[in-house]
Amino acid sequence: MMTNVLRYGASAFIRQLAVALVAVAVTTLLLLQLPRPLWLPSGSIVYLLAVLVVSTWAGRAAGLIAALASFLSFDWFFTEPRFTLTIREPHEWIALLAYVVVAIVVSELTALQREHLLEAKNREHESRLLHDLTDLLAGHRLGGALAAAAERLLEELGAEAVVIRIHSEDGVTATAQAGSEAAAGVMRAAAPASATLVLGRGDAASGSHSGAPGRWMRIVPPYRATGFPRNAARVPIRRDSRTLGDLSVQWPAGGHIGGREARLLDTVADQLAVATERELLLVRALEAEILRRTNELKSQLLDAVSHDLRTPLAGIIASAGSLRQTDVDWTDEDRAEFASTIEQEAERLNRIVGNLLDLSRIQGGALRPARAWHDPSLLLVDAAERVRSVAGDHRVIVELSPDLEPALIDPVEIDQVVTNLLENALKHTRPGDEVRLTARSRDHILEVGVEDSGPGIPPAAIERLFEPFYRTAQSKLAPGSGLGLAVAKGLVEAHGGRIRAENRPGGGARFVFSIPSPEPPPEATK
Amino acid sequence: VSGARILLIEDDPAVARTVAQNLRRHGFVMEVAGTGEEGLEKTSRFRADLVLLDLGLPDISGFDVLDSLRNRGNVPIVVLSVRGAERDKVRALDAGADDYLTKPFGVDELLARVRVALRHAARSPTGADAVFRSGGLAIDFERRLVTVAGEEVRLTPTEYGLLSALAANAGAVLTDRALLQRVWGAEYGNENHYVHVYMARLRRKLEADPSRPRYIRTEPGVGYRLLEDLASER
Repeated sequence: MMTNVLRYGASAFIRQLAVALVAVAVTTLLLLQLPRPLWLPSGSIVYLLAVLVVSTWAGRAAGLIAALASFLSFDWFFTEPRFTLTIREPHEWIALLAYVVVAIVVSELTALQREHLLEAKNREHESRLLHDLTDLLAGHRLGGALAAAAERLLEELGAEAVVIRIHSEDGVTATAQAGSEAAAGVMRAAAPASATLVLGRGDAASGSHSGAPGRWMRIVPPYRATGFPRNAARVPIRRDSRTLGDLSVQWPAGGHIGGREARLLDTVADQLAVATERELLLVRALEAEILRRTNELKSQLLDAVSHDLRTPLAGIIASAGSLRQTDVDWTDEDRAEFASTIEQEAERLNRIVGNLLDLSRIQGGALRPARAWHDPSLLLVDAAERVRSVAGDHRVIVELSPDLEPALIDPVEIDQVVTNLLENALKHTRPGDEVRLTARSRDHILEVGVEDSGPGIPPAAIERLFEPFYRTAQSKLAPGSGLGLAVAKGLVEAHGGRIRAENRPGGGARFVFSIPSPEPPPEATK
Repeated sequence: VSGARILLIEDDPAVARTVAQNLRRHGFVMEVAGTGEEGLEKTSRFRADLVLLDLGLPDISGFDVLDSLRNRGNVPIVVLSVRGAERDKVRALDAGADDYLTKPFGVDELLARVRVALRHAARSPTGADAVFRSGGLAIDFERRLVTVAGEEVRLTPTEYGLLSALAANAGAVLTDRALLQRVWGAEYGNENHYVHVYMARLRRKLEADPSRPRYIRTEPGVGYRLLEDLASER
């Protein structure tokens, strides 16, 4: 029987009384239809049947009422003298007394049976609710779980409104509510200590143990300005004597709240406490993970700074020092070589610093590409030209598809992406090898590829290639800081684009990035 | 050009010393100011032919110095800025600077910028030459005729407008906005994409191998530059 828990006390009794009286009246009418000699022998059996039905269907009180009413009715209608409560024959006395005892016993036994059945149903129902709640609370992050739990509880209790508030000292706060907005608002706004009916600490129900609900404590505040509704209750959500929040329920006016509800609320509050605790641990684990990664990044940064910045500096300092040597007779070629070492190493340093700055802007989220319509051909060709000037014997080949359309890009940033990819390709190929820069447009997406004929990417490295400071075993041999690809990725993603790396079937690596333009190029640019 | 007077407004002593030494060695008369105030004060006394202005000064903003200098006359100004500050460069150029140098820069680049800026200042009152030549490119302004290696290149009026604007400032950078207003008209201001797209077309027509461009150089995020004094053929 799916009754709402917050049922109406007075009306339930009236209903039981009515059921009992109607059942007895109907039985009496039926008996009166029988021939008179059958009245005494069959009357008690038929009445007993009625009592049995009533107490099964409507409960203990109804059964008892039916037993008494049928006793009086039997006496009144069927024993001589009829229509009086007096009885002539002594054996009829005995029969009537026996009847009333049997009727009461039967009604008690049936009612007990019925209560056990109801209890079992309730327990089953509660454990299903609990199971549902556990599922809800385990499946979501706290905010969503609380909302679902409040909704479920509202439906279960037939309450007016349910409010769950989590306000732990550790900084996890969440609020969820269900039901009437007005009622929930009042409870939400009320201070934690303002409730007048609070559930004390009890034992939650567990598998074999029905649980001992905490006692309801009616708190009479020293003044009446609390604002907490009278027909509402609040259950603290506690864990190891720490208060994590509270659960408030308001039921319809005139309703009441009993032991079963208290037990239910206590158990739910316990579940909420567990869920809150879990969330707390999750938040802490996340914070710890962020710290760990920040530390890792910092130590990688330190590694990179100490190694990759010092290498060019060593070259510069040594060359400059050599030039200042007065006791050595350097030839003009020697001097030129020292000077060009200083220049090259300083430029390398400059590129590393530029990438570090870009990376910090990317990671700080300060990157706002100034996107405008550009013909990518100009930019790609010029980037290739600039790289060629430092490429030595490499051949940088540019292949632009005839369908290349204008794209919405920040030219400085995309230039940086292309330059970084080309420099990366040059680093991993031998002098004389080809590096190919390709570009095409598809559905207003600019797609740029850089292919080399180097040794390719170790499969294990493909996933991590774009992480800052990540360097494969082979790339550790080449100069670089492990920043170029991370910067390229950050810049492409700031444009809403994607970048990926793959190995070419014929050998060598291929990097491809694509930048979508949110709208087709304007007419004037076609 | 040699013997011209150059005022360097730069707060970093190492950069100031190196730049001044190099320019002196190349025959320029140098004066160095370490702050914006000092720079403004020295401009009038020193009668500079060219100002090299660092945009990041310790006292007043480089842009304020630029404005003050422009209000006093049209001495050529080359601003010094860092990579990543493209918006600052565009702002300085649109506010009247003649060119820019990105720090760190090499001596060759410094000398090239200084010479271009001084030559433009010397030429501007009399107007440009009748024919511009650089490498195989020739622009005959009177006949509106453009040839590459002796072959006529047919340009649309817009493309010709862009090319002649660049040629009139050959060697110096022109911002997207400057090109837009010179070629499309003063009422244009935000249609920079016209410039980007027409410049790509112009280059395709001018360059024998568009994947190895020689004449027009893009300055990402700033504008375009037509290279001058290219050797006639490679």
